[in-house]
Amino acid sequence: MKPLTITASHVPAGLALEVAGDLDHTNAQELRHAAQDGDLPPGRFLVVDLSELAFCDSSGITALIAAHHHAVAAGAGMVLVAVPAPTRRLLHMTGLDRMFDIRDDAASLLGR
Amino acid sequence: MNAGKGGPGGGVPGTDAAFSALLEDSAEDLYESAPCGYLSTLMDGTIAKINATLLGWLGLSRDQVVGRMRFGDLLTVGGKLYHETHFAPLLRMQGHLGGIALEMRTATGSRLPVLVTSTVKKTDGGEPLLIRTTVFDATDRRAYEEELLRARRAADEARRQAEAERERLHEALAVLQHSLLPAALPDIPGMETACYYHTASASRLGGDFYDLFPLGGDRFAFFLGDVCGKGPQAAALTSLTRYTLRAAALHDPDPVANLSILNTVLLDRYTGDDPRYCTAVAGVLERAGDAVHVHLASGGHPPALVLRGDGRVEHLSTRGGMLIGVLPSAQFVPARTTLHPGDTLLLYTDGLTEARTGDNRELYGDEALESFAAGLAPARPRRVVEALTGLLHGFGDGLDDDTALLALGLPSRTDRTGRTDTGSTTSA
Amino acid sequence: MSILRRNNVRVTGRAAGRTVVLAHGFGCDQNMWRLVEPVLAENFRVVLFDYVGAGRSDLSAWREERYRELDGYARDVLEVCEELDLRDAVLVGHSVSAMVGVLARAAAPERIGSLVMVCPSPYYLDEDGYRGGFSAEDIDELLESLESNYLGWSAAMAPVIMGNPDRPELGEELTNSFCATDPGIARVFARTTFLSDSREDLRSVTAPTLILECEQDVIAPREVGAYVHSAIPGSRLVTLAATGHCPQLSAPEATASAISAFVSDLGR
Repeated sequence: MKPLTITASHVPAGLALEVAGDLDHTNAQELRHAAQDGDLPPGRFLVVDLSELAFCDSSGITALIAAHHHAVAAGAGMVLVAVPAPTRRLLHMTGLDRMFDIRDDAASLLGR
Repeated sequence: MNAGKGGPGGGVPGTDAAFSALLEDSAEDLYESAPCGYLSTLMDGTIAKINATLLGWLGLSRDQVVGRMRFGDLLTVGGKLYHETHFAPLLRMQGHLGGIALEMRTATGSRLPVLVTSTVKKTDGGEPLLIRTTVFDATDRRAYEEELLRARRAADEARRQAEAERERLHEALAVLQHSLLPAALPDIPGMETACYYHTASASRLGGDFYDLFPLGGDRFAFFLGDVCGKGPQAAALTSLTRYTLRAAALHDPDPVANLSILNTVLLDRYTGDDPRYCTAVAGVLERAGDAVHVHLASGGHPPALVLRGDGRVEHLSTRGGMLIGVLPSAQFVPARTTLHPGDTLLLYTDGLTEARTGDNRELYGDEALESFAAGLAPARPRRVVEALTGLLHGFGDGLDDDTALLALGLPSRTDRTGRTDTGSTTSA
Repeated sequence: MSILRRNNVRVTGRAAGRTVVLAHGFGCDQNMWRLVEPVLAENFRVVLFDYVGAGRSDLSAWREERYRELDGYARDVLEVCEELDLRDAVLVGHSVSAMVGVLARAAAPERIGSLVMVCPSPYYLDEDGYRGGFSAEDIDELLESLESNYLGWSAAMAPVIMGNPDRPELGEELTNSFCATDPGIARVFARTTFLSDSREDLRSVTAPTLILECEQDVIAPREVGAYVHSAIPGSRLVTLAATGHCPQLSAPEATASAISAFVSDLGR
């Protein structure tokens, strides 16, 4: 078990959330709150960086969906960056790869 | 010792004077005026000697008592019963008895709670001779004990109620859980069906569901799925999902349309930051001579497997079918196949493929399931469900999610025994 | 668990002798018989037991539904008799067990051939034309007395007292352990004992019956003894020169010899 850490930062594209560790039913709520609490102006992006995500269960997927809905409601977009293979498989199976904007590299969005 | 604050003499000034008063206290005076009651009785309870303190408490004179009353006569009737059934036999057996709570009845009729200790005095030869008893006024202590008893009774009652409440809740949960699954699969002429439901936690309502029901004529509809989350909210979602799919299937023969209706219903019901969704496979079986046509659609659900009569295993790809209840524009993907005698269609939820196995607790996975199925094929539905149930049991605590299995098939010609076989197993 | 273990059954005495079953009453357990048992054992085969819920019986076998009726206690007696396959035994019942004996005999006359009733009372309450000696309030008072003396009862004692019939010394270290009973169980037994009405049952007793009463007994006064005697056709009444409700403790020799004489007469 790896503890979950969510680091929020403002980047040129909008709001970036770095999600690291295990995302499951015990802590998925934290991701929802991080997405809701952050400042996300219309026309910008919620960029969720999953490069350090170790595990994601269906509650984690639910939190990603909630974050997506929140971004869309705010007139913003959402991008998933560096999705690990098991989670990508899960997104694929559930057809969510068609809903999420999934990118391997988002240096330009993150201003790196 | 508080000799300086006034002994039996009371009011004697100075420590020395009080001390001498104490020394002058005779054994007789101590007996008579002790702060507790003393009495001695014959073995049959007849009172032979009693001190002034006890007589004072009881409001009786020595002449009324000595040689005329038995110890039991000093007690309330309830105390007398307790004395005869417990106190006296114990004293006979043990020779000593301490700290027994009894109630005495005074001359004015009031009750005096007391604590009684008795010792049997024996002759040199060991024969019981008389009983010596001390009696302590226990009014205050009894009041306190009654408080304790009251509190204990209240606590007992509260516990009983809590247990009854829990029992009711348990029953309600069981009823609710049962309402989410069919009581029994319907009999489909010429087909064999089998199902299994594993509940990860008896106290939490599960989120998997399945159903199989007639549409009229030679057609039957089926579905199997998994809602997000657990507990009452998941159960409510399961209920909505199940009845929506049932109604939709009766209304429209197209499984894709059925899932779209469910998608609309879920999006309408659950909005905003609390998305609630499910994955499902829904389909229709239609008899065509010796074969059965299967038309199904999937939304975000693992692919169904077909174990062919010749030993091959296929998965029915429904790639791209989306979670149901997430997006208004969600797409659902259809698939078709035909079952011939000896073929079995297997639907399952991801509790099976997401189970953790081995020392590294790795996901069991789709490939492992396909290999397992390949090892079984050809196999009739009951055999498939039995084997998978065994596999699930083998996962032990690696299986931490609900799991539903539904297998539908046509027995091969050699399997047929002349009767319709509709094996069905459920387990919780 | 076997019945023998459940009811803490002990069999002593002369194996070839007639079987005498000693049934304790409300309050204590088979220890009540310890002064008369050796005397009876000289001539008879003696069976001792504890009702479920009393003494060192198996407490886990206790069910309120069963033991709130005298019939439940009678079933204990019958099950012990069946387990030992007793025939034509003499059932000696103290106090409430005298009435339990009536029920057991009616159910299995081939196993229980005759009855000895020690200080019996078929009904404890006063009613029109009958004097049992007590009012309903008196029984409530007894229940209160039971409660106030069970403050010292500890559930932790139960396994020690109940669970070790083979090691009685464990129990004896505990003061008053002979009468130590789970308070909930004692309350049920007390209510069953003092509120059951067995008067009608007496009239159908056909077994040879000996009634032992004491000269002074506040629980079963002599007029109650006379009532039982007149209700059971052909019964024999013996008044012991003893005080209290437990002649087997206060007058063990007289009690044992009265029982012995009755049992010895049965054979002839």
